[in-house]
Amino acid sequence: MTVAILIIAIVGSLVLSTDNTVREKGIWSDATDVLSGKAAEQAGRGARAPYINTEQGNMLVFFFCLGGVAAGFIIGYNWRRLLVEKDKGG
Amino acid sequence: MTYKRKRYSETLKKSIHWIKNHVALALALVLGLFILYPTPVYAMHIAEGILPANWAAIWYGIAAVFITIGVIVIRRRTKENKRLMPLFGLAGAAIFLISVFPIPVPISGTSSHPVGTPLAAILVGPFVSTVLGALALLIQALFLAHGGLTTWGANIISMAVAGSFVGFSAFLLLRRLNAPIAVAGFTAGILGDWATYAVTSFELASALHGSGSLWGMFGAIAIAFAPTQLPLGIMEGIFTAAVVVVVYQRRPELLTHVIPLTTKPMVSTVKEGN
Repeated sequence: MTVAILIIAIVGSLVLSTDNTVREKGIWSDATDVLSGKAAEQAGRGARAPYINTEQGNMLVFFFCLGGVAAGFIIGYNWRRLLVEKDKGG
Repeated sequence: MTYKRKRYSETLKKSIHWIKNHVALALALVLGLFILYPTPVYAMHIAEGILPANWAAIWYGIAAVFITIGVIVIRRRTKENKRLMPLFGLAGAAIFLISVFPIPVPISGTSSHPVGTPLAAILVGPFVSTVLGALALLIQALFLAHGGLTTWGANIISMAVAGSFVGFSAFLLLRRLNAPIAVAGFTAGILGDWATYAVTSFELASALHGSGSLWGMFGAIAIAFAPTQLPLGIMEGIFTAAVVVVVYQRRPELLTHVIPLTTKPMVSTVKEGN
């Protein structure tokens, strides 16, 4: 089963990437963003600005850093509590 | 002279040792700076305003059922065992971080993100993972311009529900068939990831196909996702397998406690040294 999945993934990626409409927006464009945008455009709709617009200057970077630091701390702290301290008999 | 040489040699050894120990940290810093560099932002998940109100409401309604059950499960489990909180915290933070992590896929010429919910579902169960995924999506929609409040329900269904339940089911099934932990984890990660994008394709097609064919549009979107998501699924599978193996080798009881159905095959595998 796993081998079949791997073959599907590799062959599928190679075959389907030759005529990929998503690539025209560049490698750092998000596939979901591009595809949902295109589908919405066909239906006469479009994405709108978020209700809380954090895309102002450095605000978005600030929230990304804050989120990354907070998540990193939570993961590290709990990983230590669950896996490291128990190994030491804590 | 000899003393000086010895000191130099010791200093050099210490420096090499320090560099070795800090390579992972340095790499993480460089990668972090690279990712956090302020470039124009491309939103992940289905963005605000993409779905019409009726479809947004439908996905909200379905998501509410899973969230309600998930909250009940969390309350019951934490009441029984307070020590589960660190595991829930770890899983929630991991989903948050993994699902905002853009990974460029050179073969497809675009980028996308893994989902993290298959891993979380294996660690804490699919209903709990759904709630954690929903919280991660809410924070992303509110502060990171990823997803949206009107599309929160749809994003919960695709990433939190489909990713968790498909990943968890694959893991459970393979463990029942006595597959090694790594194989079960890998398959869970890959199928959970693909399921997320299959459901996203369905959500977009169902809401936006208009007078065209629903399944025709679903197929077109799913095929367009494939070159990016197929390799990314492999990556998610490898990551999921690696974390599950590490957790299982060190604390097998963490998994047997939250996934009682897999107790028997998991324990037998450890005794066999897999």
